[in-house]
Amino acid sequence: MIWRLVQLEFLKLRGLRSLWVLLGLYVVAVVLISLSGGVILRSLSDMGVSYNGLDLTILPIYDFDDIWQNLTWLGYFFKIFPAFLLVISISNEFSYRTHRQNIIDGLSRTEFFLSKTSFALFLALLSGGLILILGLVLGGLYSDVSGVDVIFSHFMFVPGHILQVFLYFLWAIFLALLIRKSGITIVVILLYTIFEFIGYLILNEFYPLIADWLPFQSIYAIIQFPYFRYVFLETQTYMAFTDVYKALVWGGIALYGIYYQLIKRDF
Amino acid sequence: MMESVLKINGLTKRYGRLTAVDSLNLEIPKGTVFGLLGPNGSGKSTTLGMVLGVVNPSGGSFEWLSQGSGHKVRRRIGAIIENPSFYHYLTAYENLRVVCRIKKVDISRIETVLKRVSLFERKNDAFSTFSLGMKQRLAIASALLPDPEVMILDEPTNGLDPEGIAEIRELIQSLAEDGRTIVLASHLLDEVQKICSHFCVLNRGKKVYQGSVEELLNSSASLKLSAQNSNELGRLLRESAQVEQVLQVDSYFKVKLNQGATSGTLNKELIESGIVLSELAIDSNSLEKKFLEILNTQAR
Repeated sequence: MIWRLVQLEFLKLRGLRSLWVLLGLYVVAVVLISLSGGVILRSLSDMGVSYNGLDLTILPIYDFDDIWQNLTWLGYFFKIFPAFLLVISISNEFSYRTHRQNIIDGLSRTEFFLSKTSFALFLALLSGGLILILGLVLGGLYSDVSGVDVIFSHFMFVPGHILQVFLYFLWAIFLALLIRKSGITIVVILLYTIFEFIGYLILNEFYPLIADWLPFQSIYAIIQFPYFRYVFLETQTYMAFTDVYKALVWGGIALYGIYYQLIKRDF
Repeated sequence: MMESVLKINGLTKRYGRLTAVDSLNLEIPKGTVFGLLGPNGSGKSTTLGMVLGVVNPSGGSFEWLSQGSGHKVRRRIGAIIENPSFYHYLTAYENLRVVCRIKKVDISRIETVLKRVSLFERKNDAFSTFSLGMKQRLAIASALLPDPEVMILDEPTNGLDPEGIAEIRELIQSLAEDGRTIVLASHLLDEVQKICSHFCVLNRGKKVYQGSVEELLNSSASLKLSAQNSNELGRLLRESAQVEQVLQVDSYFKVKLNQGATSGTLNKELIESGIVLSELAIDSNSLEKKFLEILNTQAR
């Protein structure tokens, strides 16, 4: 049933130019940013820049198993493109009133809920697949270490990335259902992201426990910033249960919000 | 006893302190073209919304085709509520593919239904390029995809020009001739009179009348009759047990029928008495008059 609903969602969206533009932008952005790390380090090295006398090109950013955390952390920033696609898809349903017609035609409200959330999961899986391919290719080309156990020793960051973007997508869907206008929803998401980041910086000074519980910060924190390790600073190179737990709580709230909007309210 | 396609028992919808539909009981007989009438705010759209799953009822129940009220039975019904709702950027064909996927209908049906509504030539054009009449026809095509026993059309001629109205009316009549049950919600009484066999009037969320159009028009209706043998016609009308009142106006008679009598039964009686009518017409404003009478009775 879930696959039928994902196909239904794709049928609805495939004629939409934004689908191809936003997914294209996402793929290009993730590929470029993944490749750029090596290019930037090489350029800096060619310009004579070094860190405490170390040649920057020897930094093992593409080495297994570092590569998984490095790529998933970078890749997360571009989830905004598929999230916008989901926002547009929800807003279209309301502006064309096709959400009503879908129900009248025989889709149950639960199926409508599942079609939206499972399509979000499908996009998250695609994102995970892209990171996986990039990781295997770049790691295969540039990693100084190899072997199946090394390649997959921090592989959990890939499912972690899938969870991370899926939870973010749930929030995008929830906000789109609340606001119902794609332009306004996108502006709200962008503004909220900025305000929450500023709020996080301030709160983190005085109430770090509260700061860590901010919704987008909680989701972001599943995969911690990985690059401190290359300047010999302490880096969390694993996904902590407490971080995942906070993100799941916020994801659960978004999921309930979507459920409430689609199941309990009149269309 | 007549089989019903929809049985509604005590259906209620409340919005806070406002009761939009109040303990509605209604049965729609199979094979009829059923008009759902009522002034604005009478509860027509809310009722249709509830039986089609888009509005959650506050109470009561309903059953489609004796098979419950779930989404699976809705797949076998063709319904258009208010304006045609499609994805503007998709073509007619792509839009119907979405509906086929929801209704679990084979996509080979798309060609058949597009031909039926004369849109096959435009199947690869985006919905956004269609005129209102074409959009309405596409909506009917979409409703026809599962070859439904029941079709629900809410204000199907809304916003159309006279040509478009005639086209849609013809289409509805041809659908009714296929033996489908058609539920037509409209505030255009002329449209209901021309298309529907049965109807129900809602007012303030309550059913205030249900019956056949013919019955209502004939119950104390004014008929206009004329024949070559005017004297003989006058005599027979005055003697007929079916007639309550006869009034001669120039060369024709205005007749008010008794309860239970219809234009058909009166015509039969006259033919049996050797009178062939050259004119038999029902007062064209009757349904409108009756409708207002029904509403006024309620208001009192």
